[in-house]
Amino acid sequence: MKRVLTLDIGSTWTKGALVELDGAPRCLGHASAPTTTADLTLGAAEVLRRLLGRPSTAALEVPAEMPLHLSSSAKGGLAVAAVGLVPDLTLHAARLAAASAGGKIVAHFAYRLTPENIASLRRLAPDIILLAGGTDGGNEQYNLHNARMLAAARLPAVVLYAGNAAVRGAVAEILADRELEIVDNLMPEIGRLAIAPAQSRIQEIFLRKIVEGKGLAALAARCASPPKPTPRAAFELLEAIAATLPDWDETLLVDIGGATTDVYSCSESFVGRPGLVLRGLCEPRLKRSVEGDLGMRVNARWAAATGQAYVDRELAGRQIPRERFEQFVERASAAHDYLPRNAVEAACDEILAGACLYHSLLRHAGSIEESYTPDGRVLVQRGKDLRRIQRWVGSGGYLARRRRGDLEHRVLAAIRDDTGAARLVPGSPDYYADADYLWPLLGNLAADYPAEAAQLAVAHLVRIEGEAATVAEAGKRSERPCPILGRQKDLGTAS
Amino acid sequence: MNEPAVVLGVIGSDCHSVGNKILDAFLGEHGFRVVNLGVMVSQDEFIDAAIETGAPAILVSSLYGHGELDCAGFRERCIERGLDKVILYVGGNLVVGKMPREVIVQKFLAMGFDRVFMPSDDLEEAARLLHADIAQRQWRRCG
Ligand code: B12
Repeated sequence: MKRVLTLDIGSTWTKGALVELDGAPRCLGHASAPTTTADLTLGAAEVLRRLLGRPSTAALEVPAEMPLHLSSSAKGGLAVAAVGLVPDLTLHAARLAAASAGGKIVAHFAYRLTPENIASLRRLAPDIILLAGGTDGGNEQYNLHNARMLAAARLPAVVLYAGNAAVRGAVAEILADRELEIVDNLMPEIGRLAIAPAQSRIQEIFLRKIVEGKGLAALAARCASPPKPTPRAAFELLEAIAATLPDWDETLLVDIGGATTDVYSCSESFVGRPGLVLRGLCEPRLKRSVEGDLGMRVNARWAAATGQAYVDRELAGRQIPRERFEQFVERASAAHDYLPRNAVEAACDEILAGACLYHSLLRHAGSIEESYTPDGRVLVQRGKDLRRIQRWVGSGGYLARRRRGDLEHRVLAAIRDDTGAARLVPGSPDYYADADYLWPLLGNLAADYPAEAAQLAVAHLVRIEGEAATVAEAGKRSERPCPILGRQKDLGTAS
Repeated sequence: MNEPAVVLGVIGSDCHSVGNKILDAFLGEHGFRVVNLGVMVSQDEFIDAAIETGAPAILVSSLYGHGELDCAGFRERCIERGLDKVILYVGGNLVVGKMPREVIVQKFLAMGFDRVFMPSDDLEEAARLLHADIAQRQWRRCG
């Protein structure tokens, strides 16, 4: 009987599941315990013991016949700073590469790095600085300048150069005494994305440097597959689902955490037809974006500020005084595990989640506008078209906890109203919640067991109906075989 | 890789693609690395591409008669975005209806374009001028 263990070490919670893969795959149990920041292996061992039904005094031993798979976003995750030349071209490509590798993009800079930029890099302390810019044979000056700035700054980060191939040698010389890695240009020609080499090198660096540096080496040594950054696990799960479940090949995954909001989409980016043209980059079918200013707790203030127009309208609609909302935001941003205390706070929490959704979608989705040419109307698309999305999965925190409601639906309607349908957001997909927080955990298995991971991930989703309909669903849920071991009351703000 | 890059495209909402393809092939055969952005290209897209590719020249086409409007402010925008020395050529049916050649040329020179071409102009000559202009600019840059 083939059983595997999967663990995800988040910033606040360490979660795990025991999965049986033979025959019809099943989740035999899942468990969680607080992440032990000082020594990550302690929390991990606790979760493993719970999964294996061992007393908490037992020494940690992973049975040899049970392979272990691991992801982590503890201690700030994999922090990446993206440096590119033009915002819409190489910087955009660098951000796509970093996000799809599972990085948390802590900063991004275009054109020439300034002393102020270097100061923020020093403060933000990214693990990796992804340095892109210039097509192959193209611009050299900016890269050389930026390499010199980074050489002089002597930051502890690994510099990953993925820019103009013509100056690789010069960049290597300038950064000779820094930790430097070089991969193929992520935009070798205008408009052609080639992010795969940079993306896989970021994961290698994660393995080599981060796993070691953040105290995961002992655990990693026991793993059957290379540990991944948590977002990368989710990314691979979405990929496996699209590849193995024909009904699920147009899917959106949104994870609103305490600090960030992640959006993953799997859908054809641009489907051409007469009268519709694409300008700018053709974005990948599988795309992740991560918004560092949109979060439910640590970044609640930022989310409220960014989403002010949305928030004001919702408050007016629900007749909640602004002071009540602001008070809630203060409390939420002070405590990463804050839970609403009453109905008004619950409404405020939902409004905040709506603001995160609204803006993360607005940024993830492309746009369409009419252009009137002398011989008629042409539609110009920029960015990614999400209108074909059929299914929408909410994971992490607020969206996973909730069993009913029409928040997503209302947010989509608000975006369409506000932009006159110019944003290419999903139409009316079916909504689901990753109620058992299994998605990243199953993502750890996606590379080795894509079909099983995909099947289980979908089987464990709870369909979210509109306000009225979900009582039946909730009843069904408790009958499912998966026992809930050591489940904590709130896993919400693990990001 | 030693061939100079030139950015090529048809500006504005202009969809005329035939001349663009011919220019792409022609310049490719005449010693240029052509970065062709195709039709319906905005000013910023031309400039973005020139920055990333390090191209010393941008070649703008306008065929449908709205060239004057679409090209207004192009040079200023280049300067604004750091391309202060880029060579700008423009060609095609630049205005609506008949207008003396000199008038059209003056109009576009005044807008900051370095050279202006009519559909009837010789492309061989244009390619020769472009090589010369780039060589001179490169020389200026090193000097
Ligand atoms: C085919 C055509 C169309 C096709 C285009 C199909 C396509 N995919 O390209 C369609 C039917 C879609 C079309 C539409 C329109 N067209 Co039309 N079209 C033509 C036509 C008949 C031929 C164009 C062509 O392909 N020429 C062949 C190529 C090789 O030549 P070229 O485009 O001039 O390019 C060469 C030179 O100009 C030069 N060149 C161009 N750019 C540059 C730049 C530099 C730096 C240099 C050195 C050289 C250079 O090199 C090129 C290669 O040799 C012309 C008339 C004509 N005989 O030119 C009208 C013409 C261009 N169209 C015209 C018009 C008005 C339109 C419309 C606005 C309206 C309409 N009802 O027709 C729409 C506009 C649509 C849009 N949004 O762009 C007018 C433009 C009038 C003006 N400028 O004053 C023209 C001149 C017809 C006319 N006499 O009225 N058109």
